[in-house]
Amino acid sequence: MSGYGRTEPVVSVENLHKVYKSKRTPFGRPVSVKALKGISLKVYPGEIVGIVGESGSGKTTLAKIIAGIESPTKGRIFVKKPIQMVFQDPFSSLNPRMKVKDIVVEPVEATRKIQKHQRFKLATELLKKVGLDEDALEKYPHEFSGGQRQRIAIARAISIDPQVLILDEPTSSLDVFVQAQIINLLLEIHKRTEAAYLFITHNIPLVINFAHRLVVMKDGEIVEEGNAWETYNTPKHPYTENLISSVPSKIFSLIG
Amino acid sequence: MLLSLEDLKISFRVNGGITKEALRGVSFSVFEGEIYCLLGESGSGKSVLLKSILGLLPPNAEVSGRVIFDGKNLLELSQKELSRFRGSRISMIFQEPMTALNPTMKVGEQVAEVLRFHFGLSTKEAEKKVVALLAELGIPEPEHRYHQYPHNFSGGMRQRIVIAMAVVANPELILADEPTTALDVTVQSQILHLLKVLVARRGASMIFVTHDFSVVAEIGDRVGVMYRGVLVEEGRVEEVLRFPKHPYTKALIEAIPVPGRPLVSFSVPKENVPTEGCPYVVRCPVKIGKCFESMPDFVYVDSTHRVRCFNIDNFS
Repeated sequence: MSGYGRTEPVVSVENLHKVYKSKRTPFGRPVSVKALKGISLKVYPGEIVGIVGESGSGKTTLAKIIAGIESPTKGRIFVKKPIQMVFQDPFSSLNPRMKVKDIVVEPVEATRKIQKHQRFKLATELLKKVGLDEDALEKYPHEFSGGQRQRIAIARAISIDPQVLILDEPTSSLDVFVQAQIINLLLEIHKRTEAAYLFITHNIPLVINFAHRLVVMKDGEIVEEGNAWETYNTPKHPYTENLISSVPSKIFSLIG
Repeated sequence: MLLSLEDLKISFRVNGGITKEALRGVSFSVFEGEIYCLLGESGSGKSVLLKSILGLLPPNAEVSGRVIFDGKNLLELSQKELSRFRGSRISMIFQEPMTALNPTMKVGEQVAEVLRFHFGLSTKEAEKKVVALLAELGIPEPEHRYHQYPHNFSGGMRQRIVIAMAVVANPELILADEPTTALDVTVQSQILHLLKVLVARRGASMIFVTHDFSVVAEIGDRVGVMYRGVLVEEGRVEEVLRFPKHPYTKALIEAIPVPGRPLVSFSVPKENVPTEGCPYVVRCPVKIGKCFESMPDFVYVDSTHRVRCFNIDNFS
């Protein structure tokens, strides 16, 4: 982490709170859920931060607030733009009525006007960067497999050269081979672009291989944060210890 | 031998008179007291296989082969005859506990129903047995929880209720279809441990379907690896993980994220399965001519470890 300390962060959130309130029901008072309880986090240029925690820990809420999709109830937030997000489910994150050539350039068109011939060239280049052929351009999302759709989502996300890329469980709905492909694609893009990655996952063995830093969340709070490899090997917080010891690890000794 | 599948073939009639092959002749046996894991990616046929044992396939399925349990071919039994097996001698645990439970019925009663249906126990007797079982499954305050509804339970607790339904009648065989896939890792670890203990305590056998090799390593005695409707490799879990022989098994193991080991990318072509030959031939790095022409027979590496591959000598 020390290597990143000297530069300005690309993401900085301070004392972030998020409360979700349900509507008043005929049966009683509205219920409020504290999804985030005072999160502070800094992410530096080019850093890969793995955010792990179980369902309900607030990982996705944090991601959505950083991406600007939701607003916090309280707290300060600074994000260096452009920022993009890749979602878990590639079946619902792509507009089924749009062709791939339109999907991938959409973020660019939202920021500036582009000529028709540039548009085609840009779309082709983007697909090439994520390992898809030109013939994908005229197709619709439903014509692709889960892994290919995730490639399309990644192409769209990198179209505006984001400073920050939020990846919300981008491989958890994919088979192992496709997962490996997508992870390697993301790492290759990272090498080239040096964007900061916020990688949200529940797959600890996966993320510690490439994350510089690990952030462990539980019930809306960060319970531990540190160098990914050190945190995995010597967790300090009892919750982190429990989480890591729950990883099915017998297999590592058999195939290691 | 408790259950034996002999040349099980399943295909589905789909629109336009086309049939889709789901299983291309699968044979294996499950022994008393063992946990047999069936491992495969989506589309490998593992769930279809499990459903066929209990006669739970949709009407457009065409099934051939034999499923022998206690000397009877389950495929020849009527639904009525099968219902005497279901829940009492063979039971099933589903992946999604929320859809496996009836949301409008008290959870205890859902478990007790099994005892009342199969053994004609009174409500009182059944409740007593179920409360004891809920306690064994680590559900706190079982007398109180008995009378609650599924929505009052967390995912992990709900899965315990589903497990209670599956074991309450002391079946000889439990079929588990990815029972921990929807759960968080800490809960998964508890449920895996619980299943192992329950099966051992009752001397039951289990077929555990999963796509996750790390789960197989935790719970399985033996593993059968499936690829596109074919059992391609089978053996003791430790043996298969240490010395995989089939190129597919080997690739699967190399794709597992292991701390401190870089991930290997494999190409995944989308070509259709050749109907005659080995299902893996398109992706296989060691294929030879005859792999395209016919399906390899099993080669025995040792008495328990067998592989469907023509070319294992050139692959290590």
